[in-house]
Amino acid sequence: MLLDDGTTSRLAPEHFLVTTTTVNAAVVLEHMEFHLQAVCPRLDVLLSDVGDQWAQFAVAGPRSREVVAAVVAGVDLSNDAFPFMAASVATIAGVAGRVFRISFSGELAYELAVPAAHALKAWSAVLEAGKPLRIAPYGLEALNTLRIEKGHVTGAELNGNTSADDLGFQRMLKKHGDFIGRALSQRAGLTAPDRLQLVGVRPLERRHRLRNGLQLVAPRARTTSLGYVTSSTPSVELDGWVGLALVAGGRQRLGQRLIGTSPIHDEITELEIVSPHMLDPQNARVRA
Amino acid sequence: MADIVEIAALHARAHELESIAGARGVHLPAPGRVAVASDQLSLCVRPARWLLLAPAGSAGATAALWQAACARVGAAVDLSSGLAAWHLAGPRVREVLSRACRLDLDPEVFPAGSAAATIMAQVAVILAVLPSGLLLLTPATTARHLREWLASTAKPFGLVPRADVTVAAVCGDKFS
Repeated sequence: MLLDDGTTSRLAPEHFLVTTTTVNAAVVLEHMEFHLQAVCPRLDVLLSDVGDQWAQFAVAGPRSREVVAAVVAGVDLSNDAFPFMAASVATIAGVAGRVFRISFSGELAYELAVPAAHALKAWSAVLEAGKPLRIAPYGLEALNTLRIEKGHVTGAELNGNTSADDLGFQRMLKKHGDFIGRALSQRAGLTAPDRLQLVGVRPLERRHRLRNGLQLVAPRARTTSLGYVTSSTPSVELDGWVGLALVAGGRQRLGQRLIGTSPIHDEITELEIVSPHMLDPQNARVRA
Repeated sequence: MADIVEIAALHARAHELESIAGARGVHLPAPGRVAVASDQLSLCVRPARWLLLAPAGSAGATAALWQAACARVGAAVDLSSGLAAWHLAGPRVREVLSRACRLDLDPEVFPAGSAAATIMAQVAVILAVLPSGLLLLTPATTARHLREWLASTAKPFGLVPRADVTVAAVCGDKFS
């Protein structure tokens, strides 16, 4: 089962930084401490919780490189020198910090980290540098819209019942050798083709509202749930509403039409099943 | 304000880390103890792991020095922004803390030189007893909550919060 999603950066040959979903750091740290102490006690590894030490903000958008370049010193940010998934220590607004080229929004994006005591200074420098480009702070609702359009999962999909395969992450698992969870991930019940798998959903009537929790049923078998909508949003880039859903054998259903039903709202919506990567499926933006 | 650095020893390397710290003028105390040197303070509430408080320098500089000094034996990370540090003093300060602290704070049980980790008012807290009072460390993101709890709890005792810890003030203390 997937416990969490986050990023891992290698800051030095033997120094790694792991980020987690908001408020899930204690769970992940406990999980890693358990394995370090009980399963792999011979490993020379030390874990420290630095969640309160660092303030980190995303700078996202097609011109984010220009803004980041204005506040970061000591790092060549050109696409060749600092590609997607690069990480480096850096001086940010005069403070010793770190820069990462990672993106949860699906846009070209960077994340800048400074010790929390210097957060306001770095934040202000970013806003000042972005002023000519009309930079604006964005909140969780905007981020949610961006990540749903892009098919990025979060708590609604990482619900404790979903495996890497269910969410389309199978290629991120180690190909050779052992890893924690390998044996379990090969159990019949966790590889069954009719498991709930992540897909995208769009209403055929584009303006029709989607709801989280809409039950998905086949047009001719309306009392058997095939899955449900986990996340939904009015789209900015696409016409109308878009959503993510967990659907039985979902990856085999791309192009199918299902009915979304919410009996307590007395709503019925005709939906098409699409790839969860509804925007920029080739990931051209994050690599620009 | 103070620089706070966490240092930890790899397997069976605690003695080497203690020697390295000793050469830098810092005594690494036993678990449950706090030690004060001329301008530094060190305490231990986890096996083979210590928190050091030193006078505030530039961001991460103290941690970087320790990281270089203890490479291959352990690791050092900067927690200067991660922990809030307060110096609590006054005749009834233990009585105030005991309103939310499950540790026995009686001076007979928890005398000067003691250190312990616990939970108070739902958040993590490290307490260390200095000759002139108590040092309290708590995660920075929930520090305001604890500070408000502390201020309201201390009010009937005639205590008021003052400035955050400066290492010079704390290290003025000497254990006899």
